[in-house]
Amino acid sequence: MSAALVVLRKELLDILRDRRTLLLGFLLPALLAPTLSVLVPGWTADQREQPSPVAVVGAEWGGDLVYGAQLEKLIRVVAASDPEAALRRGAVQAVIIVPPDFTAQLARGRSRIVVRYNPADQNSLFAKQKVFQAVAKFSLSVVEQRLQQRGLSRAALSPVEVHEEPIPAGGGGLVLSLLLPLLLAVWALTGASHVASDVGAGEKERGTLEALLSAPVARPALVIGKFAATLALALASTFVAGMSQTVVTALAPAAWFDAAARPALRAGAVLLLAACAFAIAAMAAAWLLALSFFARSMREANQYGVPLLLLVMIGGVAASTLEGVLSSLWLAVVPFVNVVVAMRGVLFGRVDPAALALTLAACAAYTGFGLLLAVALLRREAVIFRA
Amino acid sequence: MKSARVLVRAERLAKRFGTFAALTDVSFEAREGEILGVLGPNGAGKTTTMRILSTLLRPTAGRAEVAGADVATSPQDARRALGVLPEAAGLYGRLTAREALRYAGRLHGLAGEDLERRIEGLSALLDLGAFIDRRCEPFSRGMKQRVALARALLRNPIVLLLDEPTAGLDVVAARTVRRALAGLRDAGKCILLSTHLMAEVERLCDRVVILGDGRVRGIGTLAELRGEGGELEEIFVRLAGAGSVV
Repeated sequence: MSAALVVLRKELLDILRDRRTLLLGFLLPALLAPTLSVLVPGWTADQREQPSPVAVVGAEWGGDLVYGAQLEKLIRVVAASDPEAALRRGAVQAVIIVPPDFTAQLARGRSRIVVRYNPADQNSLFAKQKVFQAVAKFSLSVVEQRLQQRGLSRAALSPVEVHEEPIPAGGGGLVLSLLLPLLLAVWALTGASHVASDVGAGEKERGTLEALLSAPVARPALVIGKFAATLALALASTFVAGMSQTVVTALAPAAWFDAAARPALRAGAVLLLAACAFAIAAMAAAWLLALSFFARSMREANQYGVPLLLLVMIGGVAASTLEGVLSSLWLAVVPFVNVVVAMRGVLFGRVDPAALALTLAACAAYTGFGLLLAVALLRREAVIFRA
Repeated sequence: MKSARVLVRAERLAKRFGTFAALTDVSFEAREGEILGVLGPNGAGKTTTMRILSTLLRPTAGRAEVAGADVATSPQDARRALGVLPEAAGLYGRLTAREALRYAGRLHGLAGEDLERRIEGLSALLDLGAFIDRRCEPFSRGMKQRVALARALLRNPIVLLLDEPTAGLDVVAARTVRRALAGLRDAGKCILLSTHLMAEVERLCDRVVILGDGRVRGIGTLAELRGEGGELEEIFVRLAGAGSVV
């Protein structure tokens, strides 16, 4: 058995006995990925669908406006002796103040209501939007009445009618396309980070490095074995996160996503996604391993991983903006961001073969560079005995 | 002894860390069938010497050979001849002692029945039987030290570099280790033994090299060093230039 395989086998045995591996590598991606990308947006969508509890001051003067809003299930009127206090403590999400002369002013042409809301509360913002929606519907009905009184129909006001007809995109659906690439990148790094710190800096911390380096094993073989173990766990985390998210998206209630937002990936797209996930996991494993060899302790190694994770998250979030600023070929050489952009392309069903090939080649180059750096660090006395 | 083959040779070794001279002009030899004690107070250069011989540090000047292989230019050849018990003799806590030994053996090219037989032999020699199939995490210092020593001996190396092999061992275990080392010497091994225990030196070492401030302060058999008489501890303190024996 080659030395690299010996190292890989030992590291996998060692790492899989660590409860933190099961937690960080498998359990968290299985639970957190769909929670962040599917369940929270789904619950938010649910929240939007529910009528918002609203207190109305002067409801008796609001007439059809308040009644219509309730009928449309946009708001639910809640009695409150002190509406302002109820809004502050969240018992109601908005307060509508209808003036006594609301109807009279409306008859004269234009009336006015006040909506009070809490800008720091997401639900209160939803409630405000729903009140605006209700007012827009009410206003439209008033306009229709006025048009009818003048012998005109609604068509005179909006001569063009639009019908929405979404086509099956054949991609990952909106939610998956936006979130899956970023989450896969984050889990590739998270999965690799824990293992890299253990197999690299952990050797120093446990006092096993000297004995290991005294064995007649070439440094590249040691690095390859440890890299392969780190990559395996990073891929496992990424796979668990991806599968968990895909399954939960597929099983999510119909109300959460419309048909066009649901994933419908073909086998080719899945293979391309797997290649992208492999590329990002390999890059993360190589770089984190090099940083881990440099670190004095596992704690320091984990600290090096945090800014890298932040950079990936910022890059991933900024990817859509960067797509409009940089050409796809330039983006293909920006580490980590390139894979996020490539995965989004696959999920949106818009694959640029040249950019994808360049992305995978760039990742291979960055991975190779990370491995060479790891070998070089493992040959430096100052790094081996850095304490 | 004089006709025995030289297996470890240090010639005018020097090692600097920045402006700090850890070793200056250190020369000595060790032969097959010999235990050479490497003595010195803390900071004298013992560990640096051991690390150069175990190929982990490159000398700034001079050269060192292990079994004829230059440690700087042919480190892999030197490593094949070496068994090393470093100062920090850690173990992988989530592996059992047997798994840790298998890993070390495979890294040294051992496999199958041969490897298992050697593990069993070392288990008997160092009395590991009671805990060899338990995970290393909760082991006492002495248990860890014995497993680490077994790891160093696994490949039956002709040169052993042992840094404080009996540190942390109880009286019985230390005696077991000392007997094992004496047996290895009798089997023709060349052993460099770094220790602070004068009684151990007197019992085990054929010759001694005393380091002080990175230089060789004395070298020879115990009888040669005693010369005008006196206890080894007094000789050590005088030659090493140390205020106290640590």
